[in-house]
Amino acid sequence: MIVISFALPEESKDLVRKIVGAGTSGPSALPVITGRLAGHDVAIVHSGMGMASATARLGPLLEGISPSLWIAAGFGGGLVPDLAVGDIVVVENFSDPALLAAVSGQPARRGSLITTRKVIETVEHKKDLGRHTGAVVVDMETAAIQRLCAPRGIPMLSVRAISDRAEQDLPVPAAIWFDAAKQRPRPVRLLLYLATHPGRIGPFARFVRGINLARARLTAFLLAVLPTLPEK
Amino acid sequence: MLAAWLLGACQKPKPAPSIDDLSAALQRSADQAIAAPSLVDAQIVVQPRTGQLAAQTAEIEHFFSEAGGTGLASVNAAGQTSILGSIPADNLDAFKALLRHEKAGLDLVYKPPTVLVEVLIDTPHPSPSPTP
Repeated sequence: MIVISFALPEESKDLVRKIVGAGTSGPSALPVITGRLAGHDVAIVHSGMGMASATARLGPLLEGISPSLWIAAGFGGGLVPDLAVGDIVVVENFSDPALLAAVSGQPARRGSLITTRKVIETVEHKKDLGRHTGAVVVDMETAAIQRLCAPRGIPMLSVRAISDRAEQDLPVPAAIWFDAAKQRPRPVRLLLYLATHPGRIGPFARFVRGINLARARLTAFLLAVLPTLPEK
Repeated sequence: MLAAWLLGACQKPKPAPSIDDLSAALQRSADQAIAAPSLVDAQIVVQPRTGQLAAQTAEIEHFFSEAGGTGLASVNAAGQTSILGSIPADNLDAFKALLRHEKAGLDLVYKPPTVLVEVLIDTPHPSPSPTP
């Protein structure tokens, strides 16, 4: 079985629609969906946002299953100016070399990733982080997933779709639109924020369009590489 | 070779630098950086308390907030945690407070008008066992 992890269902929902014979379990906010996809038995799992949630949520899952490989997928923030929204980054420093070779024929950027414990919201922070670490993309879960996979000998492929560019501030602070404790969006607070910050409405609309593009391209990439991936 | 070994064996171990030593070194680094802005590496590694990595990381991030800046913790593929933080350049006392607070080492970079600080947390075991 191949496990494909995402932080939130917003990132996985296009791929979930492609699953044949899908069965769902787990909490509605962070469900586990199993079935067949591109010739493989797959489980799409959701870690929630952040390392703590990923460890708490995915650790117990691994007590009951032994995946042959793990694809850590989702959105990421660009840390270098030449990455556009929707670009796919195959992460070299967190991926198994054999899996990297298996997906080498797919059009994607190669580069390093860094995992942070907070949402990186400003251009200044993105530039500092990119310059200091050499990473091209930032996320909030991959390092935690690696800590779960590595001791169990599960090969991992890390793939991120760029949801926001290095030269783009996030339009709404993460604490406004997302409840980290409950791992759920806060639609009412988001609407109140936009109502009181009308200048943010345009950037937010563009951000949402970018999310849709990132999800579509990530889904297409995963569907293209799944048939090429070797299972142990 | 034997002589070198004997010489080494007879040397007393270097005492750990005091907090005041570290603070003075940091002040000198900051003064130099302000005089001639460039990257200054003065890196000392923090040994986390067993099983307290996440809590200690959050604690250091919180410190940066209290000092009027921000701290961004990140984890690389080797499992190493570091905290890249910025505080106002004229708030060097906050640096000293950080040293006293964590007995930490700092990798200092000056970038007007803020000071970037990286606190490296040494994690010899990527998955520290939880405290009993």
